[in-house]
Amino acid sequence: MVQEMRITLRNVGNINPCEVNDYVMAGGYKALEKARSLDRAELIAEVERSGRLRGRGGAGFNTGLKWRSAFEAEADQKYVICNADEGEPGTYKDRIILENDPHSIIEGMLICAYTIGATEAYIYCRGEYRKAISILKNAIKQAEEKGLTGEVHMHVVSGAGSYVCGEETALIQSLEGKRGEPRLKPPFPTIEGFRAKPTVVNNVETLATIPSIVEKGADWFKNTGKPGYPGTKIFSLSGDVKNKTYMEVPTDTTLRDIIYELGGGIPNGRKLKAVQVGGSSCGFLTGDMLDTSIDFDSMAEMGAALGSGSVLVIDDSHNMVDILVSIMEFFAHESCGKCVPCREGTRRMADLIGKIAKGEGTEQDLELVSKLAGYMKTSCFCMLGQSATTAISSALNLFEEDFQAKLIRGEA
Amino acid sequence: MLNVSITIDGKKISAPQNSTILDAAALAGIKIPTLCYMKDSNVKSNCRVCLVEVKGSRTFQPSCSTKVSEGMEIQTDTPEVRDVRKMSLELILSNHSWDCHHCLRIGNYELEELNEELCSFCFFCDCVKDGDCELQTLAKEYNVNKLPYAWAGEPYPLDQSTGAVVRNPNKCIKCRRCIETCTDVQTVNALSVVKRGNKLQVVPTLGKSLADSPCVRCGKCIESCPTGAIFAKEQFDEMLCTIRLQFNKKTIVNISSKIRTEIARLLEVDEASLDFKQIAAAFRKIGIDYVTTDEYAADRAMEDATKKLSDKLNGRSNGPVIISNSPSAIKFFNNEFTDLTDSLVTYPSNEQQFGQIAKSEWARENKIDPANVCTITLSENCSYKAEALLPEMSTDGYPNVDFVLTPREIARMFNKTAVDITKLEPCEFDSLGADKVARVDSLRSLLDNDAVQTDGVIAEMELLVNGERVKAAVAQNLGVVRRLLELVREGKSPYEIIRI
Amino acid sequence: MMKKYLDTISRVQKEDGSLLDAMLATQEIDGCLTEDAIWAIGEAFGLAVTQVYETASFYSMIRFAPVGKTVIQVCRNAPCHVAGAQETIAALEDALGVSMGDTSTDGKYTLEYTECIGQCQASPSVLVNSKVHSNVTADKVPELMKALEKGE
Repeated sequence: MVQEMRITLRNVGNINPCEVNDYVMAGGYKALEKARSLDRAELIAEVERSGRLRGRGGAGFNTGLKWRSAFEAEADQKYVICNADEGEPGTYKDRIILENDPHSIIEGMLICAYTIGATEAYIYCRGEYRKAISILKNAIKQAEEKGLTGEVHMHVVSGAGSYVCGEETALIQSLEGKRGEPRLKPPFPTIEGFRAKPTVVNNVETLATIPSIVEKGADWFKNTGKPGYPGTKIFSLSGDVKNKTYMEVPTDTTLRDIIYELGGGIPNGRKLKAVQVGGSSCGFLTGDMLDTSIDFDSMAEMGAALGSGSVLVIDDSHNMVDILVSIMEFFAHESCGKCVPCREGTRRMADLIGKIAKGEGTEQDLELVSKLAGYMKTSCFCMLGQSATTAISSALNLFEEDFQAKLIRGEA
Repeated sequence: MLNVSITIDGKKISAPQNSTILDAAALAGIKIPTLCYMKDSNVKSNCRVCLVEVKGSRTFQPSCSTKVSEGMEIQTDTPEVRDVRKMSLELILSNHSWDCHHCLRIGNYELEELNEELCSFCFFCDCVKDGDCELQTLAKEYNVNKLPYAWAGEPYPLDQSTGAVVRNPNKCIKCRRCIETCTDVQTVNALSVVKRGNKLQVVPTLGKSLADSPCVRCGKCIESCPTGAIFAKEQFDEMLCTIRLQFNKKTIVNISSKIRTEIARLLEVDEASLDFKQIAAAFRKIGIDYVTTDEYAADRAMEDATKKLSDKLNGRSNGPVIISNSPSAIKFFNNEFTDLTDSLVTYPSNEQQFGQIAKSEWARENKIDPANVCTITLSENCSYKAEALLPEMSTDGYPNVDFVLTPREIARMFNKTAVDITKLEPCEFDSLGADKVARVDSLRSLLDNDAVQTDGVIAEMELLVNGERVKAAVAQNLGVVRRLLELVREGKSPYEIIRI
Repeated sequence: MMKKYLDTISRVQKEDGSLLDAMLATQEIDGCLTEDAIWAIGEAFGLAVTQVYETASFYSMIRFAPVGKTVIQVCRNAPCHVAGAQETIAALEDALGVSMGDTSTDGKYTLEYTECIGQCQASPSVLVNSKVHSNVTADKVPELMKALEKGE
């Protein structure tokens, strides 16, 4: 019987997010105190030893490595940025943390700030999360009043409706008051980031997990879940599933456990057709692929991705092409427009998929879709464009019959 | 300087450590195509035309921004690389006007069905950059055929508001070279990129017309645009009409020898073999009455400048004198530095000086009614086209200069009128006043663009004016003008004379 | 005219707000960002007006034209689509008498798409003047309409 393991979500629902003393009473800010007494290099080593806390935003980058890079960079100012621009369709796990346990994030940021030597920290929160922004501002004020922030100056800044600003360099551009267009890498943000200074950009869930690792130690974290991607992960369920809710489970849990046990299975007597894990920028899995553990590497081995941890369950009442229409319209709307393949490609792809979905597509259109998908994957400037067509390629691979059914002469 | 060893297209070469793949390839004699890349400017990597294969990389890498590293293995010309370049071009062209002779037909035909010879003479399509367009050249090289996407049409109107710089958004490939130039080099901030995704557009300030923006008509955006999205307004049709239909008009053209290089490039002839007198012959052939090339107008303008400068310095107690005959610099000054108006001295541009002379003393000497003189000058710089249109640049109600033509216009005009310059007998020029005034040389190093010496963005010099040694500078772009004028404002200018 | 904008921007700046924060606050004054507001922001932040507009036009939460009194936004992304957003949109178009993307002739309602707002646990999601309404399947639209008419 699979059970949740609430580490990052330990306080959600148990404390008043607008009351810092609740957080403190629940054991909060002890990790920060401990961190500030440790040697910085030691602290980084601890984060690295935890089996490489891999970023929980979707990219899965080694957090310890990121912090080390910024720590070693020499500059007169460094920055910590919390990426709260959660925008991947199907993902709402960061919102849960932001609205219910803001201090876990603040504490994580303060630990990071101490470690890398930063005195300025920003939370870039998407503009649509107005409640979260207000809660965060209040939480920071209370933390400051309690003297917890020390010499670190914390700010909450609002996004204004742009998915691409979840990409770290685009986020930095936006924070600098510019268009959210991704930058060339290298140079990497840990060397030249916000205002050209060393910057660590971390996801909400990642930062909220840091206090636990620091407090309980790396070994404890390392021994939970799957070795290459230890600890727990928060999943957000949506779609054709009985319990559309979020859950935190060890990283060796399987998708089957998540969907059928914790998720309650498929309602209305329907059968599972596909699962999209990681949001609109990821591919699909079918019923026979649900028994792999959901850690980053196992998913990658299957040709899938863990991504942000969103789990969209799709039952057999849907034609995949119709779902792809909403996915492609999303990317066409969110493309920043900088590079040719994404700016032109997302729009053309959305038009082609729309045409096929309406029953007006030809075999030629299908070939062009496939070609365009491969081209965008290898030519776009950033990950938005490169992964915009992953869902299409995956659907072509697994659900060719859905496309065929729509081609001229088939159903509309 | 440390070098690294890399392999490009199977060739092992040694390249400086921090060079890009593009530069390293050039060292090896390999040319990688580019579109958004502009030398000495911020690298953008947005067109994706310069993509190459780098061993070990999942995606293709832009050679304009990727730095080489020890042992890197690069392929610049595999079938896969050519394929992604072609796909980028197809996407761009599906959103592009179809009025250049390559593109007008490709929407409906396969390349093999077209007659190359016929195409090169076809005047039906009329893009000003036809034959000199970077996008067109790439489309031909990569065999862009029938386009696989629905053509987006031409939803945007032309912006002809300035009368000199024209924008055609239907040809814009959003490379942003114009914005880089206008914002970073010229610091005029007249152009910007708005919205996002497929709706992204290059527009003037606040999405208004160019005339309603800070645009000073310097024309640098025209020089940087790889396609025909921004170009100088063409007036040669109107000019030819004047020659043909207004029989009372006497036309006089003044050609500066400065345009030789550009004319030779556009006509695709070897500059050394182009006799300047053949250009005179070409103008006579299309019906121009008088063709002059002497420096008389330039000298008279310089004489005027010297006197004004001397007077200004004499009557001056503090702060440097700012001197200019550049219409775009003057407009720039009037946009943002009117607090320094007391320090400004202006004198006529060579173009305006020529026009004034032609419609006064020259007309009288040649017994022509000044009202019947039609003046035409040739200039590389679009700002003189805009200047000629200004109401204050007229005498007794007649514009000093009737037409300012650019080398591109002339090349296209001769193409359309079937004049082959290289086959003409050279002929003598007429005189505007070459036998008159002696050359004024004292401030030539300051005032004559050919004599100004610099290898950077400021030319610095010491001059003798009114018996005193003064430090002077000539700004080579408007960004420098801004910088120097801000120093003047702060009272920190190291120069006593600044020419903008 | 400019004063009301400059006052708002100044307040945002005092509270440590960024350029985007200032834009979002300023557009509340007129329901959209006017040209004067853009000039005011440029002045307050020391930016050329060209750059201010360039940045503002990138973000979907920033508007340049006024909209209806009540703005109804329906999420059209995959999770809401799977939950029946298409049917919800059809029902809303019918009930409001407005096509997707338009404003009603009496200026009361504007119907738009929104991208994912992170409420996928209760899809289909509908925003009414930025307030979240959950589980709005087609059959729930009449209920929503009643609430709208009551002014909720």
